[in-house]
Amino acid sequence: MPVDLNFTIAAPLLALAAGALLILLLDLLFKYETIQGPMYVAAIGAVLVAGWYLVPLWQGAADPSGFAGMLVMDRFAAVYGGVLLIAALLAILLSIGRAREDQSGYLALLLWAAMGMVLLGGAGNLMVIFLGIELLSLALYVMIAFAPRRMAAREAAFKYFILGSVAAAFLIFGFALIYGATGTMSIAGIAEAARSFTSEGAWAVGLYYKVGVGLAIVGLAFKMALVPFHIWAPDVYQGAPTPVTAYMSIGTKAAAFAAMARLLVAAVPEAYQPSFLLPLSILAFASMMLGASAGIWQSDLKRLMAYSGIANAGYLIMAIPGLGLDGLSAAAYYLGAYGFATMGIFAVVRILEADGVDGSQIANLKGLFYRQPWVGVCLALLFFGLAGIPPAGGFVGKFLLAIAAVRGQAWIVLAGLILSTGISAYVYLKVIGTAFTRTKEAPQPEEGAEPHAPTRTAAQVVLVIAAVGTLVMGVLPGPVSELVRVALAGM
Amino acid sequence: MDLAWMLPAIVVVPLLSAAIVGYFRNTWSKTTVSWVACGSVAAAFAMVVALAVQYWGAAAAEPIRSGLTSWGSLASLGLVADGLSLWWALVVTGAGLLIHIYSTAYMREDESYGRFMAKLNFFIFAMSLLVLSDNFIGLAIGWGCVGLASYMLIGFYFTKPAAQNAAIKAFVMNIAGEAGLFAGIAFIYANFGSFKFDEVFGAIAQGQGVAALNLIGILLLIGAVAKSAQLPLHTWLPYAMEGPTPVSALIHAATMVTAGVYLVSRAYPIYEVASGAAMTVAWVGGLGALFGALVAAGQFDIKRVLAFSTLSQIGYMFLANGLGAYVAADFHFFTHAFFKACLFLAAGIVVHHYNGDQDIRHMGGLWYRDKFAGLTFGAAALALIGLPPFAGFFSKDEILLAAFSQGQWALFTIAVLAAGMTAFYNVRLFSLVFLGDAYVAPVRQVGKKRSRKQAEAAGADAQAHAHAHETPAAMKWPVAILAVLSVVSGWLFFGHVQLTALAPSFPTLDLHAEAINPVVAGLSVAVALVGGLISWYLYRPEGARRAVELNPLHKPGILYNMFYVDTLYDFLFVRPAKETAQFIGQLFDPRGIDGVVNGLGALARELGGVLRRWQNGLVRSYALTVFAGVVLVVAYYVFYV
Repeated sequence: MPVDLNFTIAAPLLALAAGALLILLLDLLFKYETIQGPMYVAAIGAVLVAGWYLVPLWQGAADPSGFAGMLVMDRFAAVYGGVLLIAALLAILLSIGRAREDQSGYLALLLWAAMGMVLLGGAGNLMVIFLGIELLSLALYVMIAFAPRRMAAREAAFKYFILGSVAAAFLIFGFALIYGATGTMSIAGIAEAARSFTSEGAWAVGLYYKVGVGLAIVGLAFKMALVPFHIWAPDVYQGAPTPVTAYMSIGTKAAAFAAMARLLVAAVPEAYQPSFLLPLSILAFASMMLGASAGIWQSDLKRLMAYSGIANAGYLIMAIPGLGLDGLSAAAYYLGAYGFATMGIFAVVRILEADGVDGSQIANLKGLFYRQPWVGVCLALLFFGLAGIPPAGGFVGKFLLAIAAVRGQAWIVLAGLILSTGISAYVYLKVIGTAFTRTKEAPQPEEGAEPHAPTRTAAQVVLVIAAVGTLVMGVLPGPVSELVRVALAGM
Repeated sequence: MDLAWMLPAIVVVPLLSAAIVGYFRNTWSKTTVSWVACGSVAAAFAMVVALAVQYWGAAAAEPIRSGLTSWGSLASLGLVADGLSLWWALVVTGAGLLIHIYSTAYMREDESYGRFMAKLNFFIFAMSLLVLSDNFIGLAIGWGCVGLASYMLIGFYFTKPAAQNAAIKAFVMNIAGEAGLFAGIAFIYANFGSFKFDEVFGAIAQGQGVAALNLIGILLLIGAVAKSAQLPLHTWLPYAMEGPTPVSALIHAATMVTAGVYLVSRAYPIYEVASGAAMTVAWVGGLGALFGALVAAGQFDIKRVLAFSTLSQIGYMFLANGLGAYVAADFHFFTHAFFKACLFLAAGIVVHHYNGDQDIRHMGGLWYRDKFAGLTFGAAALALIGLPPFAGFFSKDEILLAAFSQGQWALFTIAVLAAGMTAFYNVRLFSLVFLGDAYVAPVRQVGKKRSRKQAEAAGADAQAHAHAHETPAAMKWPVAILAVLSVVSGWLFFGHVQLTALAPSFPTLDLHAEAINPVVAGLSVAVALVGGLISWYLYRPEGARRAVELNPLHKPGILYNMFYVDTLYDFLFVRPAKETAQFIGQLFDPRGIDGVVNGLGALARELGGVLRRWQNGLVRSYALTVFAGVVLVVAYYVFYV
């Protein structure tokens, strides 16, 4: 096999990896006290450099494929990579002010997780999909446990690890079956082979292929937290440190969705997508309903966000049945809007944590508006984004997804959207209502916790970015949706 | 002169004012807040008038257009001033201005006055956006924002739990309706590839996408029904009366709840083709008209009577829309906005006299103390009843005529009966509030003894009732203007005027002004008179029924309980959900951990209990769930052909 190195397309990945190594090196060479700030700068810098290299790919590289077709950093990959890098950037900012511990390891893992996510978007081969999944998962397993004094974090990490391994086993088994049926691991090869399975003019596939694709869907649905593969999400979201929860809620979802979209576009001819992908629609419907209604009785904001994430994974699947330009650009747009909303809400949690308050208790939000008016207003806006109420970006995103679903004739998910939107609006409004309830008592800080100014500042920056992003995507969706659309039109 | 720049200004000025007033609500004096808030609406109204003069003044009515924002190549959101949108915008900003002025006096004593005015301004922005948009997305955004404004204003008295619950109830029902609307719009885009009214309706005129129009019509209707509180999604409206009275007047009577009427009128090419959807609209409206009028006759809260009256009158508008008499629907919206806003604002004055008590059993004889309230309320009530020459007569007549001339006898009968009931509940309301003896609070309440303290408080209340409150000028003037409009707006705009104004928006219809049909008019007036006279016989100061209802022992019946629709919903949806949850709970938990199940009455917690046991934190049970999912998915593909 000829050596097919294409560093132009690999540059964003290499930048992230190099950044991680640099951070580890800095930690080795300098004293902890002096190097703490520069390490964060290095991490942010690595993400920005990766983004810099992503721009030409966004405009369309001359040859998006490299490494013998293993890596396909086309415009699709660039769009999802952009969403993922923004999420990584905000997550790094949210991480500022962590307790004194192995910061270099944490940041390096965060960058490697980002690398795995971007890699998933640009996977051109089943093995690369698996590689990306494992890279991001292994990094996240450790990051979830990165809260030295909290048993809950370790428990969460352990649960995620065990269940994630089960899911990975199904995924790899599915890939093996697909390989057995088509004789190739390359996604382009699978696309070719899948379309050659015909008998008497109709598409006819063998048992191995069907089950293989089904198991691959299971493995990726686990990462997206679709019902019934969502079962890990509430415990893990609750147990993980806040920045990690924020990061995985958007990052894992976006990356797994990108891989799923790429795989299914290739594996199932358009005409057969609605019937072949029916299970996915049912999973999506169940996710929307469970995610929306389970939020009703949550008293923990992180668990609430976990269920919200489950419902939102269902919304994303709306793009799948009509896997066209409409669907993929709508999903990318929705991921952006969802990402800003989620990151912003976790930033509010972080702002409370900066004062030593347990921000994940919804009860502690009581009276937030009267103590910190701007935070309260931003929180309301971000929950509007999740509920899909104008002027937030989630409104536009849901609209675009609904259009894609209509085009794909996905009535099940459309009905799910209608029902779950009503329920989740109720859930979110109750949280907003809590923040706007007048109370004289401020929430009590936890014992031993001290206010931490840098954490607060960084979280406020994230909150402002998220609120502005949500607002821009809601009020002036033109430029953003055009960026996405134009980019994807080249596919 | 090119006035297109005014279109975005009409929308943006109240929004800016809302932001500014909201920001300075605690720093500015209440007078400054009043001037800014009212001034922005006045400016919007002036610009609408200027556009109207330009549009209707020109020889050929050419729509005035302007851009607003863009969704890239997907859609550009613009604004348009044509006959229909100007007709609505005039009422929205005009009535909005009057009610803003009224609020400066009515709400002045409230500590959150600035917050109130900011929210009211926001509503004007949202409603203007709704009626001025030239595409479905802008309409939908305005639609969502008026729902938001309604939510914020119903729950304005946030210390009242009833107000909070009412606000959430209204908002959730509206969101459910919005989902229908959005789905309808998504279908429109999928079929016609555009969101613009002109392009979509142009495609329909050329016969495209006809197959989906009935579905689209029904989906839009779901949105319209929820927003306009029509059957069967009407249950939020009576509770929405928890909001301040100006809000009830502006949002829950004159403008927002009529948005469904606007939607159907605006989307008329769809309903022209989709006859099934159109007939559904007509029947929803007809039944709502009768239902609302019946229930209004059994209510004791003055604002609830008016709320059900609104439900009933919007029913008439839906009926007209469903029968293709769009101009009649819009005309009835026009007159209804004036007389119903007048009724609510006058009711606000009435309630002021009773220190916020809204129970009409605790009123009586107010005419002898406040002739102004009596006169304005009476004029608007006559307009609502639809007696000539009051406004409601002309607009309702057109609706009845549409049903009559199309031979829709069932709907015609329902509408005429509803007219009789309208007279009935209005006479009842007027008589109980304004005539007879003033109510004296009983010292002892039936069923339980009151403490001396309570009795004294009641006595003080009665004394407070005894001396009339002086009504501020800022409250009197808007009511007076609306009362005059309730009297004159019918015959002033009847026939050619409304037709010339609105016809350009219905280019494919063959519209011509019809004279008053003596049969229809005679019948509706006769039925109204009969209903009014029966009511007068029953509820006059010495009437038999009046005595029964004022008796504290009286047990209200089916009308008071709104035909038990709420109870039915509770029985149909809430209770079964609870019981299913309990059943599943026992199924999943054979040993019956009583401590968890017992005492958890609420649905959410029941269901939560089940899910908690599912989400039990044990990895092995999680793995089982995952495995079950895998089996199901794989089974599908094994058997998939």
